[in-house]
Amino acid sequence: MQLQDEKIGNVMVVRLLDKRVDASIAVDFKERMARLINEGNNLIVLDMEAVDFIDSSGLGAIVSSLKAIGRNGDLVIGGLSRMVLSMFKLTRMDRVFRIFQDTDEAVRALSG
Amino acid sequence: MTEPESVKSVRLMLDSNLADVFLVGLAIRGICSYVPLGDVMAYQTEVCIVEAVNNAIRHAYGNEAGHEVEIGVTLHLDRIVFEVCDTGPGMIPQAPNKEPFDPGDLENIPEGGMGLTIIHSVMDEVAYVKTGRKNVLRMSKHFDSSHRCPGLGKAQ
Repeated sequence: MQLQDEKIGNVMVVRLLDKRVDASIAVDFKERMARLINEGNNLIVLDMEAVDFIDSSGLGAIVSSLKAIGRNGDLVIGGLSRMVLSMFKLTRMDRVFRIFQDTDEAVRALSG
Repeated sequence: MTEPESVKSVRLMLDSNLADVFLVGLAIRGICSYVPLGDVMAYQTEVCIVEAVNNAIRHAYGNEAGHEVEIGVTLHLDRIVFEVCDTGPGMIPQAPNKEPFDPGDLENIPEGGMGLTIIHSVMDEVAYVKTGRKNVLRMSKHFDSSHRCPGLGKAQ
């Protein structure tokens, strides 16, 4: 899977470049995120602006990443399309994650 | 044999490889764009079919490539019916978990098992049947038949 990471202050922005976050990339995504978290990045913005599809495997991988961070940090989400947001709402994951309109807003929220 | 009037159908065949499932998703997305479901519901319908195909690959075939998953799509005047078929051992899928999780209880937020919940939430009818060697997950989504799909009507 394709992702880009960029540190802005103490916030790690992880940009998902794949359009589909699905079962075919979920394992790879979890492993990549686990590496970033193990490196000490506990404030993460997941930039999903490029994503136009997510299934339960993709959602589960993001939950797994949140659990890996635990209570000593946060993983928030920015740039969800209306469609992808509908899946977060359908599965009640919109109550698990803080979701921001865009990455800048998400970074400001975690930096504050 | 001619099809009944106003019913159109297509069947897709997929090898049991998770990396290829996106092609089914794109096909379903295209078909659903033709149907008066609305864009969010069309998208969620695509997700349901992808979930069903993923489940067939994982649970019917143990994630092993080289097996066939068959996807049938039938367009009626007032509904679209999907059938996802495999020839695996034929375990009846567990009922979706109806217990809501506590969003504040991090350890118990589910990482898996949401596929059937999604399917049951989105689809109007869900049934699991066995037809000969095939296990079939049949899902139906109704739509407003007053918005007739172009191309559905009397056979030419």
